[in-house]
Amino acid sequence: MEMNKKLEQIKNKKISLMGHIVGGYPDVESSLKAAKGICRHADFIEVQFPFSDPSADGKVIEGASYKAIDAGFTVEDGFKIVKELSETTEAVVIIMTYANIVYKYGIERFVKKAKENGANAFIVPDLPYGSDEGLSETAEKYGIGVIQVISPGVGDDRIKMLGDKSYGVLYVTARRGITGGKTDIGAETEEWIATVKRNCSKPIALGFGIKSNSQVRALSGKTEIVVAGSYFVEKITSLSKGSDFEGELAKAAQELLS
Amino acid sequence: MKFDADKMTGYFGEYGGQYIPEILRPAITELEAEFKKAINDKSFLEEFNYVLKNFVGRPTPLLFAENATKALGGAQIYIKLEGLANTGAHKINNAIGQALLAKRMGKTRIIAETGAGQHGLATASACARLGLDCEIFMGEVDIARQRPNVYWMELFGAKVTAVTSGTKTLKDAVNEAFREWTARKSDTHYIIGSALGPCPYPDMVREFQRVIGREVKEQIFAYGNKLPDVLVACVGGGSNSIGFFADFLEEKEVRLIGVEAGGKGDNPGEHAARVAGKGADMGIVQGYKSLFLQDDSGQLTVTHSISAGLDYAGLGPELAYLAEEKRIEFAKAYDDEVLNAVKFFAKHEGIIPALESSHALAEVIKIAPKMAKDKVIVANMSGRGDKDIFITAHALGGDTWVQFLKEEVARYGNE
Repeated sequence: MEMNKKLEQIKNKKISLMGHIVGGYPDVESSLKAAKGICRHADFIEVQFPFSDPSADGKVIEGASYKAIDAGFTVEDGFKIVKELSETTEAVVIIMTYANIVYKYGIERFVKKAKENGANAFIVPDLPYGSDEGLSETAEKYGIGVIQVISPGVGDDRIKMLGDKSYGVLYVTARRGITGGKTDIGAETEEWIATVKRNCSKPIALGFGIKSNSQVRALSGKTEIVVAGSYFVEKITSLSKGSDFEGELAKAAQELLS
Repeated sequence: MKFDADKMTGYFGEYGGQYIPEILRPAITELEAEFKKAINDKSFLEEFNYVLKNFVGRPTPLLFAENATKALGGAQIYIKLEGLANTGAHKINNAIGQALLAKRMGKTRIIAETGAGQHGLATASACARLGLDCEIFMGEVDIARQRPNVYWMELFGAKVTAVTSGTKTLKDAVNEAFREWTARKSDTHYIIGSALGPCPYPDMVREFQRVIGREVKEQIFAYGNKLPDVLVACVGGGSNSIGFFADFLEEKEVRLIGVEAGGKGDNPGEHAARVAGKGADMGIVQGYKSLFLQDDSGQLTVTHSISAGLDYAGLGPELAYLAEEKRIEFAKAYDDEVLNAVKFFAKHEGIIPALESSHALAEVIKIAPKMAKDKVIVANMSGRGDKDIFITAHALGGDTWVQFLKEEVARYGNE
């Protein structure tokens, strides 16, 4: 679904979910089914195009990335997953990947192909605003955009600037470090969310370490969107070949929001 | 050319840059600002030079390799014995520089990646000397082939953490160190050992390594020579070569040759030659834009070299730029040529060059005979080869070495 339409739709929702899968893990078909399952409850879905050196990710997503690459994942497979999700679900489809995957494919070619296949936004942590090789500008040209990421420790000015530039929502990491660790939703997190809110009027998607419904409940009303990545990838890892990936992941998404 | 920190952009032509996740921005911004101040601060440079002289053992000698010159029958060969620096390689220059910078920033803990173990060793030693906590990330494959260095690092009090992800070599150790840094920035500085990574690292590492070439210039004149005709250095990420070449970049009549790892052959996965070999393309990885060995999808490819220190898919951005500008020529040496170079220079000159540095010396063996006798080549022996004993002795010593190891193991069994 188109970003602005979705934002309108979730306006009165207490909290929305952004799910995350690694494209091609454990294989293209299963990853697609898993994503479809998540999308029964999620308003946003990140499809990660795996990269050989995912230095912003923790062990869970890193391991899944290697397995997907070993299994022969190609960028074209990623676009296939994106297309299917955009046609069969109500979620905003976001492509998450690393600089070299986009750069090697060609920035404009990648954006054009993404748009054609129904992707609505990009998250590329190592193409920061200001040295993003023209990704934001190109995406805007095609009517889609780049979601900017911010982390604790940045100044108010940069939050304002990135909030302003970010497409639709601002992705906020709950803590320092990499994906997949543990995050306690306490006073420190709430203070950080408040800081972001003071400087950015867009909805925020809070991620990093979201693994339980108690965390989601604690965030309800404080942030518009929660992001869960490693939680879903771990779930996928626990399933054996031939499992009902769609059903199991739908259940996992529902549990998170329960 | 003198480095002007105020004009530092982080770019060398279109190479370099600062492609970092937002999470690293505060740490990198702080580092960039502090480096700019320190490199122009007299008292910082005095302290740096004091440690280089009294702890590292600088200046390192420049040897006139008379016997090798005679045996090859061409150009006069000089060898910068950088491997005689404390801990056995040039890596200590940068480790000391960055460790001092970290102290200046009030950091109490250092992390670093290492391939051959030389940068890890240098960092661990610098931390022991300067009173900093230290953790070294090292690929499991590299730990297996450079075990002696692991012992020394631990002896210096460092924690050595095995990296088991990806190809389990240098690039994965870099990823892991970045991860650690994003999780713990306030008290920790990450010392990158090569002239790569996001700005300011490539400039910073070059400036801390520049002393190598500066000394060579003085020493070659002291021998009564004019400027040398050719400088040769091995190139992994590029720290020894850029430090060796920096003071000669403006001397256009001096040929500069960088020698990459030719490995076992020219097919993908058999080598680590980005410029002189096939399979490299422009990319953005680990915070910088440069040449990387990669496949059609942009995934980094597996590399191979007999020397762990050159076994890396990316090339320092300034070197990539200087290759494009044709200021530095690139060559490669295959594993077997490298072993021959170790043998040749050990026998003729009484030195044991590291496998990394022996790539440069293998090139010397190729080019010296074709040059006139009044020409001068200077090669950088960036490290010494003690650490390689398990590789060289196995490859060159054959059965007696294997027999020795068996007996050793049996002896331990009887204890």
